[in-house]
Amino acid sequence: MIRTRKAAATLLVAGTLGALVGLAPQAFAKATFVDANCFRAVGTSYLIWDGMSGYDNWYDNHLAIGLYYQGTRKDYESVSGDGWNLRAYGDSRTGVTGGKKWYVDASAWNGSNPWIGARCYVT
Amino acid sequence: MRTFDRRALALLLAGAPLLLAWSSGYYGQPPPGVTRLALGAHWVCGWLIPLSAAAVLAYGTAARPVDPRVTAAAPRDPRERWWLEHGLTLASATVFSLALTLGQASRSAEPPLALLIPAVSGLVVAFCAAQIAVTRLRLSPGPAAFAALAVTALPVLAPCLTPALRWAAVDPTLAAWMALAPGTPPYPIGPGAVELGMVGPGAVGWPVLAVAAVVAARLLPPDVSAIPGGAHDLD
Repeated sequence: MIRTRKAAATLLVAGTLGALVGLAPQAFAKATFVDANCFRAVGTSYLIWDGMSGYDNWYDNHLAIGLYYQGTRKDYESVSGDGWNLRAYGDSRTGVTGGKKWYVDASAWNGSNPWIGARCYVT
Repeated sequence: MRTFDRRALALLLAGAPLLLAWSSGYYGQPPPGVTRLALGAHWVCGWLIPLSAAAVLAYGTAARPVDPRVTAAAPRDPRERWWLEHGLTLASATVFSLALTLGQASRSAEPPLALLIPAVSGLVVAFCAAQIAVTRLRLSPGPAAFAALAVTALPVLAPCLTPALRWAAVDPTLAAWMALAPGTPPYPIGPGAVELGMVGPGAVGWPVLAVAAVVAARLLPPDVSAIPGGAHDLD
């Protein structure tokens, strides 16, 4: 019985220490300043999400998505026709321990190829 | 009965700076769309945990000299007894690692399974490497730790650093992030998207190979007295 209790106590201490070690370093993390701009270069075109830097600013802010084609920016809502088209995008906002998580998925194509896609996270 | 030498825990200090740098997001260049926190969490769980476990367990379980007469008179083969004598240590290391992994997942926004699977696979390899180094090769603490570390590094590090070996990675996500040139999407999304798998051939194959090596080391030679070495037992 004593050995069982000792073993259980050892495992409990190990688990607690593991959780502390796993979480503690990120108290110093630059999480609130993670740059969420997605930047993908494919040829001369770029797919960029802009204005997402700053953890404290994104929540309840307007989602700003810009699509660049040969140096000219277009808003995703008006992109169609020539050049790159924004095919799909989405965002979700869910809570995670110690803060909030945000991500956006998007992709674009010209004709049928090539794809450019990105997944941004802010934690 | 041999006990775990707690002095081996001092080896963890060697990995502490890496833990701090990686899991704080202060180091590394992730591909676009991936945060440093996510990349660091994969480094911690896929690399640091298995490598630290291998070194600490090999050093700690090899550090207590036992009179060879006691070894010879013990009821079970020492290669089997290692698992029983250090069962609590192995369980503690596993619980510690899993809790650490969940902590990393909660703050990096990575799916917990994407970190748990490589951590567990790496731990199995680390345990087996330490067991072989200590009981089959009968290395003294320092060489045992180095040997276990080197053997564990092969499956967890090499595929991530060598694009040609990417298919053998224990952590497919980390290997993909490290193999692709900056600016290249790690995965297409949208219609027809191909998601990165969390389990690759390496996550299953390396642990199976490690367990097979433990079995082979138990069977060959069948008699423990035929194993050379063990001079440190007489210290």
